[in-house]
Amino acid sequence: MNFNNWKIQLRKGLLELVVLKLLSSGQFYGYEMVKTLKTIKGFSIREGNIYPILARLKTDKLVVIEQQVSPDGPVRNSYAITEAGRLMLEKMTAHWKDVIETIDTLTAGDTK
Amino acid sequence: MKDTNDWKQICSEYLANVDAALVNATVEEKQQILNDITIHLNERYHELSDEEQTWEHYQQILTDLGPVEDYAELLNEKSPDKKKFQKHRKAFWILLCAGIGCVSVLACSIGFFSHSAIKKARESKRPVVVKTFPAALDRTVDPDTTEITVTFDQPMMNFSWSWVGGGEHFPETTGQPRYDKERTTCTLPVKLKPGHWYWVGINSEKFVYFQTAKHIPAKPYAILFATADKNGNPTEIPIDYIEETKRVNSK
Repeated sequence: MNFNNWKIQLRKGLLELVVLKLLSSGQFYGYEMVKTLKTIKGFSIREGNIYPILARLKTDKLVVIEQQVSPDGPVRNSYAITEAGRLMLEKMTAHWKDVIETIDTLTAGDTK
Repeated sequence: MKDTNDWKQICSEYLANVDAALVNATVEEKQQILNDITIHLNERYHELSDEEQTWEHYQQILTDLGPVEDYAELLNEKSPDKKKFQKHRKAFWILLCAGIGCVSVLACSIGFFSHSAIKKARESKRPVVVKTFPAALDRTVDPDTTEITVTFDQPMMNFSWSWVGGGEHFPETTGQPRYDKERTTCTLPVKLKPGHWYWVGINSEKFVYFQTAKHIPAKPYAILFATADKNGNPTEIPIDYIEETKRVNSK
């Protein structure tokens, strides 16, 4: 098994969870989100990866877009989480905790 | 020194490549992604100082965004809305194909077009590999080699490639692929092991992102090679892989 491939697959799965989690704290511009995600240790993403994720979340009505016009800059897309997005985030977070717990149990077994 | 032409050129190429890669996206998804990337590129560009406005920095911005295949990969899951869209799209395609069929029959009957002639003309425009490093079937490649390169006979679409392969016989990559300024040579940064054989596909039946700006895919090619062992001796390559390489490269 290739460790890098495994890391990429894991990161893909987590991207939706992380994006929803981030948006649950408030509205973000796409590029602003990229800059925030890049500061999370161990979660290095390619900058463009976020945009298909946002498009899919919008298709699934988990986020909404608001176009904002700035007098001294271009139109920017501001993203916000919807109520359906919050419910999905709750489910995903609960499942993620289960996964972590299971892995912790297995890891604890290894160190005995 | 500022060179906005370079910047505009590489941005439009990147966006065209993303557009071409998003074959399964709905119209809305595609528009949104392209719009977001355009805004992103704009913001990154405005962060550059005057000294940083160079070809290398522009390339870096695109490298940071990532390869265009990523967009398609991250969108590969079909949403219910998309299925609905595809249902209507099927009816549209049936009608369109019927229309095209009638036109084709008419065209053929009056002898203006021949399908085989069009196919042949397109085939003749397909890019071909003219050089690779390492060369295919070389069994004494220096294990300290850090780059694999492929050169085509014509300029290719920037930021678009299909280095095909996987598993233990595909080299460990150490960075993103990149084209030279002429866009005829693409380089893949790698780390090799001594006494090991590698298979690196350039396009395949399924993966065709080595293509021209007009979306004409390059003919598939295989770079099968082996690194010398620790004593500098050639390394054996399985005969079936050698045969397959000869078959692919002779097409």
